[in-house]
Amino acid sequence: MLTYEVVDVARRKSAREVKNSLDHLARRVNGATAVTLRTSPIVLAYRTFYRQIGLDPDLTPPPAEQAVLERLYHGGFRPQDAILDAITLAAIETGVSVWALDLDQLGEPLPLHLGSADEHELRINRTAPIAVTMVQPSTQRAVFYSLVVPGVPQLSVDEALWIATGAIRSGGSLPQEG
Amino acid sequence: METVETFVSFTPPAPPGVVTAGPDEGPARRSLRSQITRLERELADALVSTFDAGLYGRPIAGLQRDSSEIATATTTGAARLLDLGELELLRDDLVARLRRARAPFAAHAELEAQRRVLLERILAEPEVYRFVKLRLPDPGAHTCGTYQVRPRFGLIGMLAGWWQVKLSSGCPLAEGRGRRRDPDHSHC
Repeated sequence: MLTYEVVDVARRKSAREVKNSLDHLARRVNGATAVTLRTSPIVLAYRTFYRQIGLDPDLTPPPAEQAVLERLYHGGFRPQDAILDAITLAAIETGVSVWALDLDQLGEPLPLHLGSADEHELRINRTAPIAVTMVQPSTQRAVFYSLVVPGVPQLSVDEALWIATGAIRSGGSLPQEG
Repeated sequence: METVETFVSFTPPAPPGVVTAGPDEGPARRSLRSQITRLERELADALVSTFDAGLYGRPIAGLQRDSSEIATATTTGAARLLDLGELELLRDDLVARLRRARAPFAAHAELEAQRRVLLERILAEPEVYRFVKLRLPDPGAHTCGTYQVRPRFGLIGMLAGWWQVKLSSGCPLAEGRGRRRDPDHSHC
């Protein structure tokens, strides 16, 4: 099942609260996290899903794993832009894979169609490949979406989208560090 | 906040007017998907166990793939619906990778068993294994120590045939023995 949410991207840079949250998360993530992350139920569910749709999660890691690897490479979560930071924040907090597309490139409605074996491509609306609908620096409206794959609770997906969209909208609605 | 949910279409729609025939692949696909799920979980556990067992310095077979394996894999870099044959290939690929991932554990366990047998023999007959050194039989426990067969009372024991097994006192100290010299007074 696909769950998505549309959000207006008011500014390109992340709010200070988002950057602070990324700093806090970077302190929680270490090498042991990177090793054991793939055994966590949610990340494992996405890895399995990747395999079943012909992707190798070791070559194309799910966003949570990719973010942790970037954390190890760079020693922290480097702020990039508002959308990518929101995805990183949501993925690390929940383990749920969240992606973003440019709504203006995409059009509505948003049915996700998984192509057959001879199409070799994941398409949105069966017309535009995902590659041309990725978020750009000029993106004004973004669609954050996630897949509720077997083994991933709907609640976790909702929380991930809530974190991602909250990071875009204000940065103030993020979960507080305990 | 507006949240919209829609179901993903996993099966390509049949062209209108075309009746699909043939055996039902549903049960086979479900079975293969469940096998892939289990294998992926076991492969992830194997990686974590590799680190837990202290084998992380060794090449992790099954988790690092060479070019020939990539060529036989079902991954093409694009998401798509895998047919039954591709699911079977993927399952077989994961089985092979899991077998290779577990190979270091089997070799390690065999080595440990040989060490334990040797230790028992050394303890039983130290005079047969003179000056033999044997590392502690469980390096995965992150402990240090060496069993060594040495003569009791030095030269006297060597001449008299009094042999004993000594166990070293453990890991070397990180800071060395004694007090560290003060760098400010090292020139005095």
